[in-house]
Amino acid sequence: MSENPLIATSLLGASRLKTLPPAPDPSLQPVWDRLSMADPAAAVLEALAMDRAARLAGRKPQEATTETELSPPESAAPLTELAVMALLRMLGGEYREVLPEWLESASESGRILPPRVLPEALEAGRRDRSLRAPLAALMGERGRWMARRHKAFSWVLDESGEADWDADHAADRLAWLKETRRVDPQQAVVALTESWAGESPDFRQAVAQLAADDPLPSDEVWLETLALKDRRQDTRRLATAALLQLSDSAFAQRARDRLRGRVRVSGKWLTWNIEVEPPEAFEKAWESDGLSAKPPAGTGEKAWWLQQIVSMVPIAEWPAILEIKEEELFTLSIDSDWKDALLIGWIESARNIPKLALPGRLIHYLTELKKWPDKAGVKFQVLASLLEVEPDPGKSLEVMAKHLADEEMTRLLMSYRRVIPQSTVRAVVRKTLSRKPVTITRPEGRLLALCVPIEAIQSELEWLSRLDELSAPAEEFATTLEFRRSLFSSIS
Amino acid sequence: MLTADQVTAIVPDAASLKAGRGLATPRKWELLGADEEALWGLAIGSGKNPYQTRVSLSDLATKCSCPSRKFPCKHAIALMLIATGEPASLSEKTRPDWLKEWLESRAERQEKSAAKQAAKVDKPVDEKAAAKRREKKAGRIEEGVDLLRQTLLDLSREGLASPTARDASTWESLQRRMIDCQAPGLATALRHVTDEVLRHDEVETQLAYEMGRRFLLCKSYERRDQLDDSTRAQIEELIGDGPRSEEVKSLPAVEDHWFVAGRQVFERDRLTTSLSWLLGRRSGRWAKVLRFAHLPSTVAEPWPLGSKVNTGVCFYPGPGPNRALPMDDGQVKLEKPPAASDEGFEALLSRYAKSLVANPFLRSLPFLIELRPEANGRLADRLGKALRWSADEAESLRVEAITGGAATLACGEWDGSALRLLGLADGENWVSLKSRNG
Repeated sequence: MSENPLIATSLLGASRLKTLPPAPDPSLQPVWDRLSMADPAAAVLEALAMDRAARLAGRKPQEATTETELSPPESAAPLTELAVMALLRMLGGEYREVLPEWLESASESGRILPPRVLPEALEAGRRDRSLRAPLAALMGERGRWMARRHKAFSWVLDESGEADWDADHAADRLAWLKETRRVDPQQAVVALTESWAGESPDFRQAVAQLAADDPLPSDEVWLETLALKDRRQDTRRLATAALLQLSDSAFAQRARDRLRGRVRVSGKWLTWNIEVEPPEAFEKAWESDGLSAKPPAGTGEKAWWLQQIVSMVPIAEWPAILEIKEEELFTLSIDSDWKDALLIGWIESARNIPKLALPGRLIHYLTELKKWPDKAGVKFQVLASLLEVEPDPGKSLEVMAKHLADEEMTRLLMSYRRVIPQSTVRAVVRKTLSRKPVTITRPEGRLLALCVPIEAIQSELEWLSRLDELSAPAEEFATTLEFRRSLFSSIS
Repeated sequence: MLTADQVTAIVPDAASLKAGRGLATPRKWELLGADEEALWGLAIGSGKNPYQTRVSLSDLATKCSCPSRKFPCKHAIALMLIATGEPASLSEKTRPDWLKEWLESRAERQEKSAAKQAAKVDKPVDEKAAAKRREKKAGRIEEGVDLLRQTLLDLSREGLASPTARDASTWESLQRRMIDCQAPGLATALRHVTDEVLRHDEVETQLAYEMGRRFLLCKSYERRDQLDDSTRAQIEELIGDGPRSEEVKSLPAVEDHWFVAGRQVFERDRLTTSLSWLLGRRSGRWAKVLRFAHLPSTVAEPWPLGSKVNTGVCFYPGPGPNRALPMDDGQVKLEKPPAASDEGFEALLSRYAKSLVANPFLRSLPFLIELRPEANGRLADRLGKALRWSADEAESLRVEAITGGAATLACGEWDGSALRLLGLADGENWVSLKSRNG
């Protein structure tokens, strides 16, 4: 029952009421006195109306608490309204493929997200890890202030590198490791070695990735004693890649020794040939370096051992091993019995350590290869990943466009997803889009549009407008180009 | 003067917006043109001839020769999106005949209907018949008011704890009777009982107060002849017997630069109502502008939130805050939101108290105040005072992000127990917190 006697009265009913409860406030007394009790039901209703109005009118604000932490002032200007609207559309699912490019150019612009879209951006980063690093760069002071106040958005602070080895977040600890590896590698090794056994498999893999991206001589011991013996295969693979890049490491040394003597150059009738001598037996010691004795079905034992041995030597070291010049390596023909095993080994080596795979030369070689070894994986994917580390992709693209089948070239570009020279667009993309019937899907049309350089968008659109009729994928290609163009005009 | 928000607000559905975006590129048009009053274009369609698409900028009316029954169609949406995104591509400046014809016929129609209205007003009406009609209507309204008053008295006698008072069907049937009695204002009030009051956490208190307030309204109506003009007009409007719009428009207009500070769109019984709060920068007066549309149509708002409109408005009579009718579509400018406001919560509450004295039926009062959110679900002003704030989680988060803990200019309503926010300054932008497609 209400504490207000008037409300209590109204609930019970006025049929037998003789007098009203007293006025809730002395100021209402004169009004109260004038209410006629001739009809008590009416008097109660009228008193209620007065009470309500008096209470509403008499409200007083409370004392505010002082804000303890204001968001620091921004030093960067906000992105334009059009740029922000485009971001919201992409976060909502439209032209999602273009998002990485938008994020990259938005952070290059030096501008930040205006506060009104921070809720969407913070939520997008919470859900999708891959967006965190680029989004964090656009957060500004306001975004970090929000992240300090809401646990769900603390990823922003992780990405901003609040380096702390004793923190709870893996990202904080990785940030510390990255930083410490730079300034005091030995300290990083000590900390890592102590805690390795207690770390989660994910964390151990992330640490191995750090080493594989940028191996340091001080990493050798822990990589070999801990990471190489990890239960997770991906971690072992990354550790292998890291050790092989440290050419003075005992591990790299052993890998080279296993290969040395099994390959050599010999001349026959004026053609130079790589002669191969596979191992006769599997040595037990190889196992601890990650080699396995038992081949998968369909592969012979010797070929299997050979290809593993080859895959553990960076291709860049081959000229020294064969005592030839770098440019001669891929001009040699290969002992036909072991050609596939050698090629698969090379491709595997390139996949693990692409930077040391002579990417420009290898792309050229693999592109012109007459017969691709089936077991080496998908050709366009291998080539696309090499293209990513190739310092001069333009030239390689030209070569590929000349030699690869259109179909294959198109798939490669869709997996590459980066801008390519306009000449290649003309040579490859146009052909694909004007083919009848068209062989790509609509989402693939969108991916293909990511390869067109900004300055070439206009001419590609003009070319499209000259076509009689656009297929659905070509239409998708065109609208994606237009969307990208509008993004760039709104960011810059 | 067109913003993307305005366009997304009038699209009939998400599919139309998507289709419109797909067409919002010069590649899909044979011709694109614009001037101060209109947009036009020839949209390349599947047929032999392109579609002729026209948009009138003053009221966002559209016409297209395509066969779509959606309104506005995807071509019109696309044309408007091009105008907001890449206006430079609307390069044609000479109006084609098909646009001229349409604009002329629209102008003609508007003139005709204005003339018709004028004729209606001027027509030597059959005074006797009109008086009889008025009398009949007044009789019915009185009948309705009396019925409501009697019902309230009966319930008061019986006690509000009775099952009858708590039964939604009691109020629903009463609501229907009010519509029969041509008192739509009372019907809306009773709907408020079923929709809100009976579902309130403190239903005992709320229902008692609501009934007291409605009883007072009935009684005031019965005694309206003894009231001053302003109060009487207010009472009549609340009952649903307010002045006709022609009568309001014949009152002197208040010319001002109106800041479009807050907007809220709600939907009830297939009727969409868009409520905008305008603040006169010179007069300091608040004007409530309502625009309606029946579903599936949407309300086309010629004035973007945060814009400044130069026009005159005619206020409905009454102590206020008043509904107002704009004279025309005015001159609209998008500019920076006002820099500051003098008002604080203390002043707002005293304004609210004064308004209650003049109009005890007042529901809520608009405000423009610099404020910031507190951690405890309240808003604080610059002067160190705080009031309860009603907002969902998404809105709280956005307001927190925009203010960054510092007092920021905002528009909202105070209803006597909580603040509700409608618009907020984000740098040079004025952000809607209640937009439909937000």
